[in-house]
Amino acid sequence: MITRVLLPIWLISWIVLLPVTSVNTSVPGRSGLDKLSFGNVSTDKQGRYAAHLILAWGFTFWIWWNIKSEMQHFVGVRQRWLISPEYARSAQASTVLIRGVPQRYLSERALNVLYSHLPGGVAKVWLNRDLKEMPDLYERRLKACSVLESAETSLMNTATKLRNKKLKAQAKTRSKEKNPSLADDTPLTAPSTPGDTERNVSLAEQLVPKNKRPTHRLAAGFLPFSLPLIGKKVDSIEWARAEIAETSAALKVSRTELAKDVAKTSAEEANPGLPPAKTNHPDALKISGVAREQTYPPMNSAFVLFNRQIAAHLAAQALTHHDPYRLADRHLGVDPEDVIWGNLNMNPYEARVRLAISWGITLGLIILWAFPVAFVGAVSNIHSLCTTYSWLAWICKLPDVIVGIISGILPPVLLAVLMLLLPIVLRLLSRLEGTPTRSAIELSLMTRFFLFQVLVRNNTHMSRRLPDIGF
Amino acid sequence: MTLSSGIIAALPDLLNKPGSIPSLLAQNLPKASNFFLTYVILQGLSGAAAGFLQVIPLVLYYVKLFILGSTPRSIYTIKYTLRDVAWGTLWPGTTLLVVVTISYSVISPIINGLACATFFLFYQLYKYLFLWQFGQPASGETGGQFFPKALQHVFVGMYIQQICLAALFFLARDQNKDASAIPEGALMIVLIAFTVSANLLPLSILITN
Repeated sequence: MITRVLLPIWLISWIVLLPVTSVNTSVPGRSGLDKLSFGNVSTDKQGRYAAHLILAWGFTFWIWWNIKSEMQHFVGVRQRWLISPEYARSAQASTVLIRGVPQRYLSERALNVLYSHLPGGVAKVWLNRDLKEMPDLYERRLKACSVLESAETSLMNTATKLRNKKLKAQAKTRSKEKNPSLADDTPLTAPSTPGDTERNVSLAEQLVPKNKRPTHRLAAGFLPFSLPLIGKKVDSIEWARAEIAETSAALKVSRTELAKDVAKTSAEEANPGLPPAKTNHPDALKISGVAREQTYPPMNSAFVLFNRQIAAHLAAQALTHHDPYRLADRHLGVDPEDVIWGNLNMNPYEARVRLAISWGITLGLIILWAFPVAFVGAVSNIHSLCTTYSWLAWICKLPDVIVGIISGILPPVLLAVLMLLLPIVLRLLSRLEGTPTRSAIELSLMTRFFLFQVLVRNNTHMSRRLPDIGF
Repeated sequence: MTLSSGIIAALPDLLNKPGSIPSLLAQNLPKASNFFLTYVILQGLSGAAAGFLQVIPLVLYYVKLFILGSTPRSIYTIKYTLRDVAWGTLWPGTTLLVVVTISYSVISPIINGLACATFFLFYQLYKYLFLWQFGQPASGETGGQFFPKALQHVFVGMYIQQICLAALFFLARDQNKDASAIPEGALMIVLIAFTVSANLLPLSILITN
C-alpha cells in the first residue's frame, strides 16, 4: 500500500521540489544533499515556498484518500472473514466474554434470561468461578505429565544404549568363539517384536538398573522451585505416576463439587423471568449473600455462547446495564488459549486505576529509556571519554583490539538488548493492567512501542546529541 | 552531549514557553534530515536482506533442537511448527518509517524516492515471509485489528510534517529580515485543522457505502 502511496509523491516531489530548492538559489554553508532541502531557498526567493505549500496540501489529500480507501477495503475484508464458514462455524465466533457482571446476573440462569431476547437465544453460559485449588491441581498434573514424558524418553534412551552395548559385547565373544549359529540375529531395526526395547516399556525398565533411572529433586520446603543438591531426590517416573494419580483423583472430586454448584445456579425456577436477587445490593460487583455460600463462588465474568453469530455481535455492541462498568467490558471471538485467566475477574475500578498507573509507567519508561541509550552512546565514544576523564584513563592503556571491541561491537549489542527488553516490560505492564487476552496485549504494545519509537528514536537523532552508532 | 542531559537542560525553557516547541522542532528537523535519509535506505537494504537471509532463526533452530529436543513431542514441535509474528513490535517499526517519510516528504524530498524503494523491498520481503515462513496460530487471531491502528499512525507523520512546515513558514525571513511566508503558514494552520477533523471524525463516517 505504502509503495503505491509513495510512488506519485516521489515523482512529483522530485520533479517540482528539487529544482525549486536548488536552481539559482543557495544559502551559504549548505552543500551536498543539504542543497536539495527546504532550507536552501535563499532570502530573495521566498516566493518559492508556494511550491512547498501546494505540495503539502496535495500530498495530504492524497494520503487521506488512500487511508479512506484502505479503511474501506479493510472493513470489507474483515466482514467477509467474520462470516466465512470456517470462522463462523467456530464456537468462539458466537461467544462473548463479558466482564464486570454484577451480582444480580451472577448465575447461569440470570444471564440466559437476560440475553434470551437476542436472535437465536443463548446456547450456554459459563460463569468464571473462584476455582480455589483446582488450577493449581491442574498445573501440577500437567507438570507431572511432562516430567513423566521426558523421564520415560530418557529411560528408553538409556535402555537402548545398554542393550546395544550388551549386543556388541555378545557379538565380540561370539566372534572369538567363531560360532555364529548361536547369535541372536534379530537386527536392531526389525519391526516391533516383544523384545523391541523402544516399544516395550517394561523391558526397558528391566534393562536399566535402579541407579541409572532418571531422577530429579523436589523443591525444598520454602522455595517455589527446585535447586541442585537441595531437596529430596526422587525417581522421576515413580514420582510422576504417583503425582498424576493423586491430582487426577483430587480433580475428579473438585469437579463433581463444581458441577453441583453449576447445577444449582442454572436450575430453572417455577416463575419465568429474572430470578429474584438474593442480596441487598444486586448491582454491586463484590460477591456477597447466597453466591458466597457456594464451594466455588462465581466471579465477575462470564462466557456466553449464542446459537447464532449475529446475537453475539448484538450482545457485544449493545449497552446492557445502566451503571458504569457493569457488563461493560465485552470481547468477541475470544480463543480459550488466548485468554489470561488470572485477569478475567479484576474489579473494573481497580482495572481503571491500574490502567492509569501503567500508562504513567509507560511514559516514564519511554523518557527514562533515553538514559541507558545515552550511556550506550557514551560507550561508543570511549576514545574521547578516556582522555577527558582521568578515572577512565586506564581504558586508553588497554590494547587497541579491546578498545575497538568496547567501542565498536558492544554498543550495537547493548542497544539491541535494550530494544529487546522494552517490549517485554511493556507487555508485562499491559498484563498487569488486567488485559484479558494475549492478542489484546499485542494490540496495546503496538501503540506503546510506536510512541516510544517516535519519541525516543526521532528525538535522539533530531537533536543530534548521540553519536551515530547506526540504530 | 547526550539526549537526556539535553532534555533536562532544555526542560525549564520548554515548560516556560511551550510555544517554542514547534520552532525547536522546525529548527532541528531539517538538520537531522540526512540521518533519516540513511536510516530509511539502510532499513530497506539491510533490513530486507537480513529478512530474506533468516540467519538468526536458522541458528536458533539448531540451538533449540540441541537444548530443548529431549522428547519426540518437543522435537516435532520444533521441526514442524511455523514461526509466528510478534505483531506488536513489527508494526511500530514499519509505521515509524512511514512517519519519518511523511514528515520529511516536503522538507527533504530526497527521502521519498529512498522510502519508495525501501517499501518496495519490504513488500517483496513480507510477501515471501508470509507465504513461506510465518504461520498465524488461531489463538492469536485478531481479524486484522492491527491494521486500523497502523492507519492511525500515519496521521502522526502528517501532523509532524504540517506543524514543522507551518513553523518553518512563520520563521522564514527575506533579505530585510521581515517575515516572508505568513500566508503560507496560515494556510498550513488551515490544513492542520482539516487533518485534525479528518482524524477525529470516526472513520466509519468517512466510509459512505
